[in-house]
Amino acid sequence: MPKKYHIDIKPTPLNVKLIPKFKITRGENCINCGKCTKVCIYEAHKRSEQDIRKIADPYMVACRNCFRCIQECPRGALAKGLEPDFQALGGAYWKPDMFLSIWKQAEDGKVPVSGAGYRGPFTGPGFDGMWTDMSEIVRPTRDGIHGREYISTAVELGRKLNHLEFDGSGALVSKIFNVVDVPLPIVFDIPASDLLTSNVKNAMVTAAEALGSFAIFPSAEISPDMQRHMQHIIPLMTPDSIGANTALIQSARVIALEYSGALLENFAAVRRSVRNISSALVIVRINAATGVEDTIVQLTKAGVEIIHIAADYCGMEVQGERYIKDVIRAVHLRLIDERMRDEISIIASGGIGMAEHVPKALLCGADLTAIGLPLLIALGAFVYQQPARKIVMPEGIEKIPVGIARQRIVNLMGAWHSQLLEVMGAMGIREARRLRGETGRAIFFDEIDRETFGKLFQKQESANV
Amino acid sequence: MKPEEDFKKSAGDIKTIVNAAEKNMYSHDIGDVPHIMTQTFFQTQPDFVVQPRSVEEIARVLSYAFERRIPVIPRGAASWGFGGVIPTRGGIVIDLSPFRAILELDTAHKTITVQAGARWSDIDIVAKKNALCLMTYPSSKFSTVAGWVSTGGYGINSYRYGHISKQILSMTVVTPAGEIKKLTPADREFDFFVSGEGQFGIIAEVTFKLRDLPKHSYAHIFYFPTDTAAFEFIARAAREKTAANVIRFVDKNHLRETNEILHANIFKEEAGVLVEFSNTADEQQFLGLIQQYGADSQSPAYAASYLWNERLFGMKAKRLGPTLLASEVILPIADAAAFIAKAKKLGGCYGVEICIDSYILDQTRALIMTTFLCDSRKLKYMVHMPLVSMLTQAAVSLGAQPYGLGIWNAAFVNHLLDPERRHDIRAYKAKVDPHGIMNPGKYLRVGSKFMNLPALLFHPAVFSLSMRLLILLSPLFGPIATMVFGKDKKLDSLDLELSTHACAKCGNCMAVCPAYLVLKNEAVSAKGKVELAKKLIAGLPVTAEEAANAYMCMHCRACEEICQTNLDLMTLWDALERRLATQFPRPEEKIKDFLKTVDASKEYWDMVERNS
Repeated sequence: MPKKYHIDIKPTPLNVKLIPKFKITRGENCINCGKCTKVCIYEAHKRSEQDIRKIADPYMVACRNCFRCIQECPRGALAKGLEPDFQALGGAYWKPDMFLSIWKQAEDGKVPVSGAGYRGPFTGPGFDGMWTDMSEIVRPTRDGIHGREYISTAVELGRKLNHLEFDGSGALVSKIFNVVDVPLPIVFDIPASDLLTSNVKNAMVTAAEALGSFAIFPSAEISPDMQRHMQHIIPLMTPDSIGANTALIQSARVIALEYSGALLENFAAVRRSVRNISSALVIVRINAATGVEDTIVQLTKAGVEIIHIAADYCGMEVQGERYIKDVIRAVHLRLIDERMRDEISIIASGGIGMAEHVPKALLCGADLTAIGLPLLIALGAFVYQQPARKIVMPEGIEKIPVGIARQRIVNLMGAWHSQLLEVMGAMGIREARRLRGETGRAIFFDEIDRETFGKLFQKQESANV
Repeated sequence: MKPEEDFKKSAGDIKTIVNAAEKNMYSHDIGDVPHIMTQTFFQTQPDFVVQPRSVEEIARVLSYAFERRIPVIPRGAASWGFGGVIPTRGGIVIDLSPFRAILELDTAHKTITVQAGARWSDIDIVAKKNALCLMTYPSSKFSTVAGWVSTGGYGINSYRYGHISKQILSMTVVTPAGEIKKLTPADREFDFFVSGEGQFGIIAEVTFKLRDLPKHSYAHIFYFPTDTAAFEFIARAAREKTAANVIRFVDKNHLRETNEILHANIFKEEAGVLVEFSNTADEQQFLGLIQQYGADSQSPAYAASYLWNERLFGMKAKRLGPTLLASEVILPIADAAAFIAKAKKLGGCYGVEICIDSYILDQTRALIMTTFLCDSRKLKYMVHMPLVSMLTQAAVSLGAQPYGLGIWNAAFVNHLLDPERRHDIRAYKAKVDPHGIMNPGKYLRVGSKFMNLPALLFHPAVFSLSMRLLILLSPLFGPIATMVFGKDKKLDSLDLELSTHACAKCGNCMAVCPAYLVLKNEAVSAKGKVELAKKLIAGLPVTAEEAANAYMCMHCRACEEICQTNLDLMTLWDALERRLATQFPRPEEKIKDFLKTVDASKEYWDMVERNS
């Protein structure tokens, strides 16, 4: 039997300051009796180290919201509320709870337990407007997914043939294209940023290596010490700089090129120049924008084997009003119409922030997803949407050992992998490849809304007219 | 062999306090009597202090002392100011303040059995959780049960329910010889223990009645143009047995001080009568009487409620002092106004403002507390102290009884006990305590050092004569003293030093202090810490052990909340610790041990739960 794909998770706390969700305030009527220190089994309440006669401020990171201290305080001196700093995290898309969930998964690699069932929202923009048989991961099934080990999350990068052709003597005449297996449908997509210290970049690369996946890095960002891991790095470059990056291309299995109108026009020549250096697969990275599906059809016709559609960090088109989920669906359906869907692999990125977003993106028609922000959040980064995108890396991040940072990323992916298995197990789908475009396995709010109420309101509208 | 070692050897393992500095706490009471005076007259430092944990242990202490003829001084919260718990010849102080468990609450019969040191406040909390409450209780609600039975007995609700002894069903007492007896009101001996001031033995446990918790409390305060008018009305209300829980008289000076403490003009500065009812029928009846009689006016309900709730904090005025001296007597209602006039005149001679607070006891009598502010740090205090006795003298001349004897009132014994009663008492005392070990040197006979010569002053005849003389000379002597020493001004705010003097030593803090509850040492209570602060401020040497006591604190703020004089205690503790830190290293190990002890103490957690 082939070796099973397994992600090694390991509890890995991060020694930086995270923002807890709740805040317990100690009223003036606290009598320092110590009851809270006795009843709290998580040690959120402790006596002060400076003066043990007084109770220290609650250590909220340890708090698991059991409310026991609040209930048992003989003076009713404890009050619990939301931490304003926590509520200020993220924004409309990157909701504060997503941070908590990512931190938790990065710490222990386990499926987060929300406790009281999936609370929706079952509607809303982006991925919130669709749900799958089990997108609402509440907790791992009690005994684990039956036959979990027979579920494959592997996907392929590269062109696949519709059929094979043989000559009269039975010899294969079809040209078999080079493909690359990725054991889970997630690659890392790391934008250039001053915030990324060398330990963080190394952690991402080594994590990708540990997972058997890839990390896309702008070629300029790839430092010599990272080049040992080129098998798991996808250098991103402009077509013009192919010559300058010969060394990287030689050792890479996959490279990525920035889309431009010129690239579309002479893709064959560019592809040839890469092939002259190595047999690396080529991704063309294109921003999600209005009409991107037309461009993709043209690129496919020009011989592109992998397309990376990149939306912004909130999953919106860079130019346009669509969410990435709708862009993928449009591209996927268009390619099917053109009977060329298998000619290319599609990577979707932008706004993928939760485990459930991965199968949802696949159901919409992507072959795999790329993520960036969740990796930074796993390392303690705070992201703010208002007034403009802002990422704050935690203080002292440069001192975090690569091993710890890597393990946290691995843990996060381990948790997402488990959740993907749960979803697939619930659907009865054994291969992640088969998720692609399986919209029948998903429910779209817009559709059922239209089906249920559309006629009623249409009628009314026409009556009004 | 040291006395405490001999004690341990013979009486067994009973908790003692032998450290000199800590024993010092047990050498005085609430009264602000200068050490020079007490120590000249008496040997106030006890040999050692014992803290028995059972009736049987009390008996063992007493038989030990009886055998060796060592003086025994029983002590509760020490909140009575007449020297009742001050040792006069050293001896063993039996500290019953930590012997404070509530043993049994019988809700069916509405009775409760408690140990000697149980606090009225704790009993009330427990009772109220069972829809019951106290009948008669002292205005110092944080005092001990046996202490009040032995000394006062008249207080809040006396008008309705009478003296506390009327509610007692039985008492377990220990005789000086160490015999344990259970006495009921039917026993002839019972009466000796009521207001017995620890002369005949020790009250170890008391069973007394409770009443149903009333659903409401209606308080009113009525004003009268003069004290005379107020007492005329009170006399009539009492004569007609008008139902009320409490009828209390407060004079205009008292109300003015209350206004000053509040920094607001809430009360009219006139003679005031405060009444409290638990049902509207009583209230209406009383209001009818008032209407007939025509009081000046009435304060709004909130003001009356405030004054009613402040009944437990009678020494609040000490903030303005920092010393408050008091004379307490029981006087016929008919003579009250005359006495007040006389007292104010007398006070006027010495430039002090006399305040009157009086509880009506029954149809004919009133308990009158006469207080005035002064400053124990000043020389003029030496004139103010005798003024207390002059006030008492003025009252007894009008037919009053002193409210207890102790040391400082012992000279008025003839006004409290008639010859027949004195004879009975002497006979009983000779029978049960032939060697005179129980609380000697006070009550019927004051004994002092120097062959009893100083005590001669407290001989009734000598004392009475000298007081009369002083009163007579007061119009001449008082103004001279005021001229020489100046007139004391009321205080507006308290700094740390003044705070230590403003402490009333009332012991309220001891009733609620978890550190005291667990360590059972007055030196760790707020009262003890204030004493330590006083010592430091005076520049006296302090030992490392004493210093460590200051750190025995849970920072629960209970002392600050309960403090009669509203002292800023938490700030004081911080300042105290800072000052001590310059002399001694912080006793980290002791603090840790202390917290461990507290945490492991069932009593502590009971207290936390009870007050929740």
